[in-house]
Amino acid sequence: MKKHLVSMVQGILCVRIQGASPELFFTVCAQDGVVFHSIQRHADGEYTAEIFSADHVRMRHAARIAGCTVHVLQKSGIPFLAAGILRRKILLIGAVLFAACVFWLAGRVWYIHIEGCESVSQKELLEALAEAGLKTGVRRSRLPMNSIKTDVIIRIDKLSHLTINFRGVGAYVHVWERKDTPIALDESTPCDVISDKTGVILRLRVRTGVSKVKIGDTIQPGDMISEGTVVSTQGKVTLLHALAEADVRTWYTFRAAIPKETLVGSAQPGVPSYSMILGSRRFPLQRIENAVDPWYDKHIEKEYLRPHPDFRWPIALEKTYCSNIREQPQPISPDMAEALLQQRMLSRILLAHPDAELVNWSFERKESAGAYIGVLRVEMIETTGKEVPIVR
Amino acid sequence: MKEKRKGKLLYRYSDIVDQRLHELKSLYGNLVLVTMEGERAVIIEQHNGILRYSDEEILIAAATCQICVQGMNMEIRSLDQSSIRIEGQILGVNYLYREQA
Repeated sequence: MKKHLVSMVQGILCVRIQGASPELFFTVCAQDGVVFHSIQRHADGEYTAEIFSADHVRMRHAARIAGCTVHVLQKSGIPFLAAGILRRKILLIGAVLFAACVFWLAGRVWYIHIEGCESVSQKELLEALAEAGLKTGVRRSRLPMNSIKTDVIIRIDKLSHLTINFRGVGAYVHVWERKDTPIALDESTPCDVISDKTGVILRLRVRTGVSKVKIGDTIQPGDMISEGTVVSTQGKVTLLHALAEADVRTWYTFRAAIPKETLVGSAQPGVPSYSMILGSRRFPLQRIENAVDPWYDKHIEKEYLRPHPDFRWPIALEKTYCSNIREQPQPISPDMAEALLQQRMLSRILLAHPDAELVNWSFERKESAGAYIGVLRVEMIETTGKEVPIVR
Repeated sequence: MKEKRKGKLLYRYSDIVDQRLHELKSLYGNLVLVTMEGERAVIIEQHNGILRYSDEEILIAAATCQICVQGMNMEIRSLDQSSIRIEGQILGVNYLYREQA
């Protein structure tokens, strides 16, 4: 392949050799440094061969000695192709214009791909991008990326962040939308109170509204605790801002696993290396300073030259130990695994439910292939009551 | 920096290879080196030129002898100052000394 490419770049001539002694001709040519390819014998005293175009001139000397004539049958390769093209000026101009066109077009944005849109429509985002300066056909190098991003975020309130990347002639815009935090309802807004947990009601506090549950009832997410729509005996409907909360007893089961083996690193002290410190510069006293092992712990000790306890010269001897750390598998005992799992799972539950009161819990350890599995069952008391506005 | 070092290293290796080749050449003098690739190709290095060329027989001159390559549909695929590559159905390679030649 490489040879073929080289011959294409240099240019190849297919020549016909006729004469008294073609063998002598080939020998003299080879001694002159001419390289032949595919020498074929056609008839007595007639041969064809392929040579590099640069060798053609060198063959004259050999032809004179051997009494042969050389005729060029065919020319191929880039030099001949280029010579043919260079003669056609319009074609050349066309090629140059085409290259210029491709170069000009390749520096521009020709499509915009948008990802991450949920509540914001792509049309809205494309319009905002166009107003900020990013639209199809603009030159990529002249785009003020930071100001475009800021402009788009200012124009569309729902966006929190966006990135713009260019690949080829495309602009890839990835947007992240703002997540609305629940807003506490105004006291004048009529609303119902619903549950967002599953459990049994332990205590119930209804300040406003009509209670729909009683102590001891089982509730699920979405069940009404207090209703804000009050109908009088005369049939008059009044909408209230319901205020209620319920303490519910909830039960959860959590599972977690840890492997039966772990890798424990043990440090093996290596050979210390010494360096001299003069001012802020460090001069190694050994030639090789690198740690022999990729996993190592480095300990550095510096001993300054101190003529007095309160004064030190900026000269020190630095001693560096590189302790190799070899990791070896070590089995975990069942008791240790149980303690670890229990501690981790409880701390995770308390983090996930910070306001809950942990009443009771039980832990069970199971074993499977290569792992210990912990099952934690907890009983908690949580407060529930989510305000939902009444849609009229 | 790395590239430079790599280049230097390669240069040094090529120097070593060159030196070894020269040593070999001085050791074997101008002996011809014949390499056969199965029955399909013969490569002859350190030749002194072509003496006869036909489809069935190619006679190559060397310093101490002549090499006669016999076969069918043979063709010289490449020829330069140092080596000849002959391809085709090779039937035999004979070394001809002065008396035989």
